[in-house]
Amino acid sequence: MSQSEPTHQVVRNDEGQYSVWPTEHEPPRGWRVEGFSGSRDDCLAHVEQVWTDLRPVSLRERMGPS
Amino acid sequence: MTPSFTQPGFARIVGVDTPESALCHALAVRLTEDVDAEALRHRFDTAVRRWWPGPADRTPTLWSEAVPSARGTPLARHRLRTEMHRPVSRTGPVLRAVVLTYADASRDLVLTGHRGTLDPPSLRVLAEVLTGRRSPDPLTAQPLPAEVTATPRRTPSGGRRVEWGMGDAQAGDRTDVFRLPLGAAAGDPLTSLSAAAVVVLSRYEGREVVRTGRVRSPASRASEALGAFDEVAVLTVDLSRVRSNEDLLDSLSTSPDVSPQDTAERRPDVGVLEVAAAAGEADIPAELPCQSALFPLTLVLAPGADGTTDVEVRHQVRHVGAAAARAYAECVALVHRQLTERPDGLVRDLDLLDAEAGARQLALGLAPESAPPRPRRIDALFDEWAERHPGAVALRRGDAALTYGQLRERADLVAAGLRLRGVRPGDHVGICLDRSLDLVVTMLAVLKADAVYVPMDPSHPPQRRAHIVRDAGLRVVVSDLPDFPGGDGSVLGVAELVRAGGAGGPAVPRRGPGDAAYVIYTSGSTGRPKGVEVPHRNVTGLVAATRDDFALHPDDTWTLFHSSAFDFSVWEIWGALLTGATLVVVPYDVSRSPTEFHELLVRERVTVLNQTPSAFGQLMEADRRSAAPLAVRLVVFGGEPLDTRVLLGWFDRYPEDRCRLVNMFGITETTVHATAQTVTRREALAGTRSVGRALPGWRLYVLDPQGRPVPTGVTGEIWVGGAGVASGYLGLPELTAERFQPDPFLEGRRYRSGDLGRFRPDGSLEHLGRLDDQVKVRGFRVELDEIRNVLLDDRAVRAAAVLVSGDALKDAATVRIDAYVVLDGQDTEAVRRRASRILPEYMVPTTLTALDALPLTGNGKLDPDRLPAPATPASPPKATAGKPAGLSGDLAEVWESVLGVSVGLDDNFFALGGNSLYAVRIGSAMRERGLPALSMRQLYLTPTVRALAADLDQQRS
Repeated sequence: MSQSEPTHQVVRNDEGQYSVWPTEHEPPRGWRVEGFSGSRDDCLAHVEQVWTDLRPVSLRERMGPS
Repeated sequence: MTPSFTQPGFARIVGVDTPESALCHALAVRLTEDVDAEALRHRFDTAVRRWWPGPADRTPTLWSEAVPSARGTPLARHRLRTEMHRPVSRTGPVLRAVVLTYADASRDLVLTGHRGTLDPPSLRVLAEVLTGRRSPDPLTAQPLPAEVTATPRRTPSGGRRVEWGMGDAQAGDRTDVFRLPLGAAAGDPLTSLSAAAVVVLSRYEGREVVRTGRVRSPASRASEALGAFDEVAVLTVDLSRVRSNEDLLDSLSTSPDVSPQDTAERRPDVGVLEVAAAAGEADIPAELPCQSALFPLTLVLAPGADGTTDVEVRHQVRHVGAAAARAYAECVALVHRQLTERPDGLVRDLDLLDAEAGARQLALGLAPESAPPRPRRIDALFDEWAERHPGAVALRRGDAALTYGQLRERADLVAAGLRLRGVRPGDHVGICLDRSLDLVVTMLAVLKADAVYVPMDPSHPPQRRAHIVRDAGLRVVVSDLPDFPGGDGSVLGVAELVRAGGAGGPAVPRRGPGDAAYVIYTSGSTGRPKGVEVPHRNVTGLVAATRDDFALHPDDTWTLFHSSAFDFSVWEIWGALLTGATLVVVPYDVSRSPTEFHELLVRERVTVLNQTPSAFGQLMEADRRSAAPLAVRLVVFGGEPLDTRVLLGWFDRYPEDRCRLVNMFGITETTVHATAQTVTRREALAGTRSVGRALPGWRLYVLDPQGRPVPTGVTGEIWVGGAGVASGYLGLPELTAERFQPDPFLEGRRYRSGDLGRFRPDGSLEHLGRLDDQVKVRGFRVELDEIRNVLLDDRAVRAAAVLVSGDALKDAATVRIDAYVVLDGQDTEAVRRRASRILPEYMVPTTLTALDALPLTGNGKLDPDRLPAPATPASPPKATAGKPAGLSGDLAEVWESVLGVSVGLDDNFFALGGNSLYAVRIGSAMRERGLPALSMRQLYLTPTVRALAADLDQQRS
């Protein structure tokens, strides 16, 4: 397997929670592909960059910026 | 080359407990009418004289027996089967030959041999000779040796059983048999069967290099020879070296056998055999490859009735039980099909379970009735009870008590006070209070203020609390400690908040049940504890999941025994207050003294008790000494593995119908508990390791590293989904995304625990330890890497290794953390002092040993086997001549007997390896010797023999 072949993708659910999922499978119901794929570690590093507010979306909308 | 008469290869696969019948095989041939009885006897005698002329005791005889029933009747079939299963001795006649004549005049010839002297093809040739279909002339037989030694036996190393076998220890030598269709084979059928067996074994054992046995006739075997020519091979296959299914088949068809001398290896658990003849009469095979299973799990390649191939499974029930044997064989059949249908497929993509079997495994992890609980907020559910029975006692500690109405009122005041002090919905509020009524009041108040509580144990070191204050962004901490490190925020006392709250009114929380209720910090491998954020609905869901089964009732009395920083207390507090029961707050000192705690349980008539197994062991001891019986009706174990056998004594005093014992497995990240296993005397006698099935609303998975479900009995990683899954780790998105992953079967996420486990056929889970080096020390979860990183943060430490020793199941007090450091300088004591300012008591290494360098393996990893014994925790022996007289002498003697090290008058109890469990034992030993009573607090405040003796002396005078 070549080094650059993406094995994982970043996924996100309705609550804005992020996780990673193998590229060979469709994400489960309730999860959408976020657009980033790569090795598992690359995906996790990407999550670290983009997921800045761990509060669920529903809560964030109610509470406004903290 | 003269072939050896005895077959040494069998020594490699036969265990000490394998009966001789495993090496005996049989052949049944129906004699047609044209075979004359006299001619048969004549041919037999001639053959025997020619091939086995002596000694007389090894010369075979042809037996003839009449069966008083027609062929095909149950009696006739029974006689035939019995005959084929009659073992022959390797030192007796070289074979056994019997003609069975049935009532309808039909006949069977049964030949039985021992693989040590005659192989199955020899019996086939012999049968052809005896029935006149083959000339005896070109045949030769191996000569019989003058002396025969017994078949050498292999000890299964350490008496270890087949890990995944779920065997029945009571089964004796029993072998069970069943058959499964295998379908068509590609190429050599024994090779594809071996390949399938190897793949399944590799997944079962979780390793790439596996060993299986194989017994077959080599292609080079001369067809005219009689003797022992079996090729006995132990196939060692490294699956990391093969990529495609074809590669695997190729590597197995070229001989992958290791040298026959590897007798140090354990015998293989699984092996394959071949059979030449098709099945015979009804369910009786014409050829029996082994009278009892040759391997614990023996897969026999058997031609099926209509030209297809079957696998006949023969298993030693003692080692591999019926359910495990069937599950393994079904995996083999499925893998076999994939191997033959997709030669270019990848080995790692082979599935062990088809869709149906996979669904069955997934269903095992789901509780029988699993309606998701209605999401609720903790404070809302509490208020309902306060509404329903405001006069019932909610909290008690000594003489102080609060009713549900009073608790609600005081919590409302504190909540208003918090809001007036600037606490906004969703804020994190620290709580660092002793175990008091106000601790619980404040927790409830934080929730009522629509905020999130972050408990901190007042006994933890200030640096750890300071880390939590920073990490959780605490602007407000409720504490009565005078020295609480405030950071940028404010530290408020409860009384102050009550006063302030008088000016504010109640507010209705806006946040929902899915929002965070608390953050509890657990050991983190990075050297810093990490905060687990848990929503309201997880806690109310936990209470809903257990309420009916445990019959939780307002008449119950619970204790708050555990630190608020340990999530067992979440269950204690809200389990009691959300079922309308009374919660008795146990003062810290009392929680450290089993005798005083026992007295409290009697006095308060406590009915629901939650304990770690270590603490319960101490309590059972106190209970044996006490005449006063407990009113406890339910004991919940949690926090560490439970050795059920130690509970037998408890059942003698408290029968199962009076007090129910429940072992629960759970993780902070999945809200305290995830499973429940009721332990009765029966489970205790069996020493069960089961932690039970998933709670209603929770879901368990046991998965392989690729995320596929593993079969029953096979070890995998435990994942937990459903109602208990936490929101994540505070401020750690990467770690959260890694550990909390999409749950393909339920909404939301499932948590990857890092715990190893396996399902039993009834869906109960066995917990089998950790994948990483997380350990449990007296119920506390400890990442050894956290300790290591704290040591490495010390400038004087260049390298560090941390290990845990002792056996928690045998004696929790012996569990010890040993640290090894490479220092710039010499001062281990300074390193230890620094570590103890950062780590809680249970995480501070018991021993700290300085080394010049850490021993490493060839791969550059730590080689724990080459670490020296740890430095003794005791200070160097003091130059005191003889033992001091009086109380300090007696005390030193007690300490030495309990701690097992020599004790100087000024040695610190903790530096000697002391911990809370040893403290309790010292208290008991002092009582037994008639020495003054010792409170735990006293020992903790004056932790040397000299100071303690002086203190006790003063008390007495």
